[in-house]
Amino acid sequence: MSNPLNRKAVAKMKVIIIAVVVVVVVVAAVASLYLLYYAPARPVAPKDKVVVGIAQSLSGPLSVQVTMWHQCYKWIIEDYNAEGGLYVPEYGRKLPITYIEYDDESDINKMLTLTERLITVDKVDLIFAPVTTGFCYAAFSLYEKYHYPVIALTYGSQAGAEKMRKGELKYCFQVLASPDEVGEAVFGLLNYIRERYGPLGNIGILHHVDQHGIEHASAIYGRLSLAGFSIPVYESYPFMATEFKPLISKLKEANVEVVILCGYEGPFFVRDAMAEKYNPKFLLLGPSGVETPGMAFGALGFTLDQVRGVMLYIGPSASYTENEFLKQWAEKHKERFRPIFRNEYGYPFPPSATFYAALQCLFEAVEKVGLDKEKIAEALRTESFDTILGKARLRPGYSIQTEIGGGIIEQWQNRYIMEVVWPLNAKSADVIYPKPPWPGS
Amino acid sequence: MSGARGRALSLKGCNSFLLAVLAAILAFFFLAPLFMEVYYLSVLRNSLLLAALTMSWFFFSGTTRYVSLGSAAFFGTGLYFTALYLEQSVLSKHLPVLPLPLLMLMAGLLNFAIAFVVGLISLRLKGMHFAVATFALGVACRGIFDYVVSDFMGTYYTHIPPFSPEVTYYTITVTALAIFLFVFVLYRSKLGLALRLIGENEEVAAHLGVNTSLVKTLGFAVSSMCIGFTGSCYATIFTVTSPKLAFDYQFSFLPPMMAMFGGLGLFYAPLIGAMALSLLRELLGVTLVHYFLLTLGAIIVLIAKFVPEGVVVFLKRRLEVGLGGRLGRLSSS
Amino acid sequence: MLDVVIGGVLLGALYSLVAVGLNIQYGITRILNLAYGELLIIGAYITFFFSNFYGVNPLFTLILSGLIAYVLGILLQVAVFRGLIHSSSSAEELEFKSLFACFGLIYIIQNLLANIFGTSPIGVPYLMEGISVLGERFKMNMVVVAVLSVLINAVMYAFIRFTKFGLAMRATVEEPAGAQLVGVDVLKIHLVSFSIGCLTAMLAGSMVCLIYPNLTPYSGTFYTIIALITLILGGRGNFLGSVVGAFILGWSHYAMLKFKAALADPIIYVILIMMLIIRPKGLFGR
Repeated sequence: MSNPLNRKAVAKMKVIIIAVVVVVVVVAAVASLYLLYYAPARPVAPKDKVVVGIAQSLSGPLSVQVTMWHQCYKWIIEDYNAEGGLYVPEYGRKLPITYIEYDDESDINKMLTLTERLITVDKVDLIFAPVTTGFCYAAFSLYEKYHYPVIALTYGSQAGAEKMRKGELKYCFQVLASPDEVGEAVFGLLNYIRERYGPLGNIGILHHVDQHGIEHASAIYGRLSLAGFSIPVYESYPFMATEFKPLISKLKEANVEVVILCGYEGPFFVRDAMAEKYNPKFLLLGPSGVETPGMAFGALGFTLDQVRGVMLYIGPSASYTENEFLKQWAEKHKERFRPIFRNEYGYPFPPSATFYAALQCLFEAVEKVGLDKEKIAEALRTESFDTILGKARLRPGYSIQTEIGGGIIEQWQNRYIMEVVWPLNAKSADVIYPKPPWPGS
Repeated sequence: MSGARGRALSLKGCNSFLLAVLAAILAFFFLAPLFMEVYYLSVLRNSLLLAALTMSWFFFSGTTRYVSLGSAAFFGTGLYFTALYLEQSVLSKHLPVLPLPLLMLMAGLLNFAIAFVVGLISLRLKGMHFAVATFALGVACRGIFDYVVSDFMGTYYTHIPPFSPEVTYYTITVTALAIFLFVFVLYRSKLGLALRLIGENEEVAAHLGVNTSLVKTLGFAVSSMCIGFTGSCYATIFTVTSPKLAFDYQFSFLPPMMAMFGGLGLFYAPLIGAMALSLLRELLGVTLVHYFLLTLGAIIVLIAKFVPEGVVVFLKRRLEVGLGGRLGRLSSS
Repeated sequence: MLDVVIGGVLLGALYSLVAVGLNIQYGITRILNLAYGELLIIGAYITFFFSNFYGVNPLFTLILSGLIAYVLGILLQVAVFRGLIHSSSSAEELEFKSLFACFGLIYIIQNLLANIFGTSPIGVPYLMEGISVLGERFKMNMVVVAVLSVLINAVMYAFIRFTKFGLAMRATVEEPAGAQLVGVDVLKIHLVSFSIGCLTAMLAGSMVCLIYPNLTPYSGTFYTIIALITLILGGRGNFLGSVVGAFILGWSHYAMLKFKAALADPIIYVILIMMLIIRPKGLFGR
């Protein structure tokens, strides 16, 4: 009930209040944007350090993958700083490396915005890529726009690889094997086994519903069908599923002897296969299988002796038995890896050395040509660099080529160490076929 | 319709001062690319998008109190429809190229239709059942798209052609402002009034002659249509999308969270709340990198406990009490 | 076919334990606890923590988990939800407000766990060998977990059905005002019910940790969904209903894994939508 005398005043008061609130909001918006500009305070100083920008998922579902794959980001920065820093030709001396890290909360839009911040506000010298193919691809457009050379460690899709091969993506580089390379490698190994050990039985291909699973399975299926292999089972399963008994009974019913599983669920498949006493003669997991001793042991409780013969494709990777230097590198980084996976073996998993080598290429490029982005990109495209894996070359659209390692398919043969079994020219040991039966079967 | 529009637009007691402030805000948004750097434009446009999502959600769920946790389903459908069409038309050249506004309209209408059907099924349920049903819808969409993409498309990601940042920014700003205006007009219309009546007391509304089923379904469909528009906009930001990215849970959780943060008692409270919370998220995310979400969670729990009517509504009432003491209690807007 | 039937039973037993806690919480206190899955995951992390770092037998950690759960439930009620109950004038309003508070709780729990334990997947390997059930091989831990779930459910049911306190709880579900009139201490009922709900949730979480070794702080949402859908399938406050609903979910999920694995997750939602169309109040709802 409003007092008729004051109706006009009441209306006026309403309007003033609304207006005040609106003005306050506008001022607050402008003020917070202003604060964003100065928070955190990063004064533009004369160059006394090299700044690396990292916008990755430190929280949210993707942080799991960051923990697994991106450890080398901090390792390489620490290692270079331990030697005094990164040598920058323009200044004729080594500058320490610092980094600015933001958390995108597994939100792709936030990752893009934060990358823009790193580029336009923080003006970092180098950028380390986010995790997963999708995020990397989305960020590619930013890297191309601002000409930042970036090595996307976890990118593995055919679409981007094709673009890199055609030269449409000039500043983005991949490290892992593209799906067609994986298809070729799997065909190569199966063909080799077929020639040495006789005809192979039925093949079953399982894949999870995510980028790696779909593309790898489809590439492998295509390549194998072309070569006349029999593939009665080709099934997809939910992402991060843990219940494989139904699928295993399906494989048993179809008399499948060769199992290829494209996804991150390899260890769970192994566990269920052991419980089911299902013993395929050939078991290939990837791109994430029983690769870390910690994962196999800690979470699933089977020992590495039990998984002898299981294979993993992830390419390109190196076996730590290849040479003494690599062995020592692995030993040194064991200490860093141990707390992450809470295990006493803690060997970095096979791609760690390759990722480290790829990042070394980036740093070596800077040491060669300086901080000019165009020159770095040109160098990464065309030159080879000295890394822990010998001379390494980033081939646009293909997996990294290294002197040591470069294996795409590996196999558990001894405790703690995976041996490279394919391609033959990169192998560190001969493939074991058929896979020994699970202990206790 | 123009008559209703005219009535709806003639705000009681509106005067030129208010219009001037609104004009200043509009000018700020439209001229921003001239004086702001790319990063701040991105922050601004993300806030506008979230505010648009929030207001679309508020139009139905805030008024009728039927909490929908299924915004992700409509958002993702809008985004996926637009992304797929753009990929097939621009990148693969299988379909004719259509202008983006037309695509967005189609995405919106698609969502309207889907929401209408879903509404007919699920709006018979009260409260929590509706919330769970819509949440399940959001997750189901993702599962179904996962299966379809995996078994029929051969690649998990759908690639989208890039848009220039200016086009992106203006598309988003115009869409967000259009949604605000659209929701505002409808809120003041008969439909909005009916929705609010249902929210106060559904039985009474039915007795007053409101066709509650039709009104609820229409309201839900309109709300979802706007969410679909917003989703469609996102296609200009990303060059790639996938079921996991498009149907992310956060699009179901953020609109209700932001609306409740601002408060559901006033029309503009969710809008201001969404803009403020979005900017706050950006600010905290950059300064408190590792503990940011913890802090945000704590803030939300504190607000739920001590300021349950919403921050903006609370501030408004404080202002009222402070300034209007002499004039007696103001009638609520 | 037999493997699907048995597997579905085992999975259904676990799901029924997952769901019963939320049904008790929502049925009695009308708090829609969206952070239910996160509480469950806390249970998983407790088991992980004690068995991994202190070598405690995983089944023993269930007791620890239960104790911590009860205390946590009381804390949450007192610190967060009691204020909401007081400030809400109707059940619908309480549902609404508790939703908002739960969003915040979800963030807090997920990120506390992530900050303390990191984000690598956790699990506790226990009883991994296969044993033969009616001719079909299943992992022993799955069978043990299913049996324990049924036992705990039975104890819960007996408590609600045959004790005085359980009678008071049922009265609060059906007739809150009437119950208060006859002298039921509603506040105490709420406190205990919510805590019992947390208890079963964390017990379920501890067991989930044994059979699903890929848990992260973000795995809770899946279990919240299972609990919510079972709640709808069974009807609010209906114990038997949620058990039946859980078995339906378990069976269909397991069966789908055999026939078309990629649709194993969506099938749960199809069932929910079918139930909402056919019988919105749930199988046994009023």
